[in-house]
Amino acid sequence: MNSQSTVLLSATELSVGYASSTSQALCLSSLELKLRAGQFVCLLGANGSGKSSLLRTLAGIQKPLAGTVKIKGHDLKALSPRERAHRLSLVQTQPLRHSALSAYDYVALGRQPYSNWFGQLNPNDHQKIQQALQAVAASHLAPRPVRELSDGENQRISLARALAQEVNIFLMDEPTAFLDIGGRVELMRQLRSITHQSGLGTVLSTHDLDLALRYADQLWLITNENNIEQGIPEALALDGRLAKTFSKQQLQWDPHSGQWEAPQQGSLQVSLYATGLRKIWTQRALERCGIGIIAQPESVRYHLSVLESDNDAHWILEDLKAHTKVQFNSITKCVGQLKKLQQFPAE
Amino acid sequence: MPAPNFILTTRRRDRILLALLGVALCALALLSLWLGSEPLALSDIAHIFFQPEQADTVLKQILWDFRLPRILTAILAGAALSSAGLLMQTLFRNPLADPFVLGVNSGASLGVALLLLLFIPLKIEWGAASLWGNSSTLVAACLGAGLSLSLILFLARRVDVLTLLVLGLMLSYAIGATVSIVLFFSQIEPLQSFIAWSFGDFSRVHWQQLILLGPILISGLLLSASMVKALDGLQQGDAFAISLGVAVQRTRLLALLAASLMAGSVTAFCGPIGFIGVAAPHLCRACFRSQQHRYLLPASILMGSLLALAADLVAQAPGLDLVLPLNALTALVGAPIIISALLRQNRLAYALR
Repeated sequence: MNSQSTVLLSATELSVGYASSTSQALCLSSLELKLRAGQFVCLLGANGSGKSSLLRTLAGIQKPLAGTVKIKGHDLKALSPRERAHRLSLVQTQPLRHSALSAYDYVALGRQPYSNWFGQLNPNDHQKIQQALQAVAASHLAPRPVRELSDGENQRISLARALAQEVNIFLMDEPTAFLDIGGRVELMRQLRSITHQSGLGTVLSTHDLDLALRYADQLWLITNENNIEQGIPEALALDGRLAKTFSKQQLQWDPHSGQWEAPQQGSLQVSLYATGLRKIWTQRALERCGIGIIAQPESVRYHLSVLESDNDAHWILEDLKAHTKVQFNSITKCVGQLKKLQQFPAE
Repeated sequence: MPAPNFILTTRRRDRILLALLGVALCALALLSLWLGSEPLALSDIAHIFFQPEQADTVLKQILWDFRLPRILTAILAGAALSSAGLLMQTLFRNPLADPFVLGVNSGASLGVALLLLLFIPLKIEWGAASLWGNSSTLVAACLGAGLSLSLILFLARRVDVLTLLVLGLMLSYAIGATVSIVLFFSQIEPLQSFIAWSFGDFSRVHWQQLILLGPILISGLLLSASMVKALDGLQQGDAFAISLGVAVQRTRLLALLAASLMAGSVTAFCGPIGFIGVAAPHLCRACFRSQQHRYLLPASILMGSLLALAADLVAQAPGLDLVLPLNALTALVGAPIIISALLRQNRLAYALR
């Protein structure tokens, strides 16, 4: 989407890393990146692959080893700190410092690039602050000292600060870290809708592959070759680039389920007959225990079926070799029995 | 859209608090003028101010040439130490930082130690011969403080703040050790002079020194005031400040320059005066609800002046025929008050986070 809209941020021939007088540690090299207005980009990569370094470099906090970063055609290097702060804001994941500051005053820091030397706020500034707080549904937090806020509230206040700064470009370093699953989903939704509605360009780094696949307009995927693959999430999933980047020796990323799976190790295999919700969760239980599920019932010894009545269900485990049938009235007991069979296989 | 009500209430409360501090400072200054080391009759003071030609010349001299410069020095030095402490605490994001954390103090003491213990006994002299109120101690302290200041500024461009803090600490230790060695090899008499210098004393500064010290400290305070906005950003971390458009490198250098200049000159002129630089900013953070530096800086200035003036008043021991060591009093009298205030507010735990 938005392939015709303006390019807010672009990088050409960009190399990211750390240089000291004696050595150079390269994280990413020869990047060609474009961030467009209204685009919500998720930056994915393993630990230590250079996600934070890239964001810091794009924000002008860290010097690039090579190449240039441009904001709407202006070279980042040529802009003064204040001019940069009018266009771009980096939100980092860190506990909020200076704990006695009220949430309102914290968000008010976002107005610094516009205020006089004394930091005096005018009515327009106050309006922008209150709008930013409303946008992240945090108006009620305004009087509280930031030290008393929860991690989720902290993130919303940090986001409100960046909103109050009225920038076009949001760079966010793992804003979903420290949040519970509900908080993560909520934050991603908020960010995406703000990005789309206000025509911002947002780059958000995250470890949360599942959420990134669901919400990103575009993925920037840091590969094992110090490069970045770009594309819509589905394209990267279909052509195997996601699986290639994320699969490790003991863990496979399965494009069918969009989930991580450990290779089957157990020798115990069953065929499963069930429907609906109970099928899904029984399947998950079997996968979790490392029990193989085989489609052809005739080729396995054990046959597991779930019989459902009105508001009740029974798990029936049939041993086709010993010709026995055991019935369980809960999934817990059934899984317990299967685990026993796994450990001490029957003759 | 106006600011929300709770912000307006907070700001109003803090402005009233500032005004109260100002009133308390004026009252204490007048009290100090009256009491000094020996209380004057109020009618005499009125005479000196309103009918100077009829007033007693000795009393006039006491008031004009001794008490007034001492009070002004205490006010200025307290303000300077306290705002230098605020700058350092914000810059290093460390509640234990004080104006002397980078070794300016030790540099000054090394200068004075070398002067008193080596040069004077060896009859190497520059400037006047007598010890107090003369320029040789001053020059030595200034040279020492200036030297450590330039070393710190040189290092500050090359390392991050935490490393700088440790380097400053190391520098202080190294210089302190040198001072100890110099003291070890010295005679009793210069040793006593050094110890007397290290007690700290505002009464060393007379009008002719104040014309020099005053402008230095006032320019340091003005420099601090020019940074209030940037300091709010820096408090949250370097990357955060950059994101707000703060020129971090420049602000850091200016803050170091201002703090070291103020702390170094106060030490050079009045001797080392501890405690105020750590305590006053903390007290302000605990008392004031607005945590922005445009409130904290004026608050720290007033609070520092108030503490310095109070310590000086106690040191003069009105009615008793002695002068107590100022440096000991600032901590001895001040520490329990500050500790109880901080504990009662239950802010110490938060401040140390």
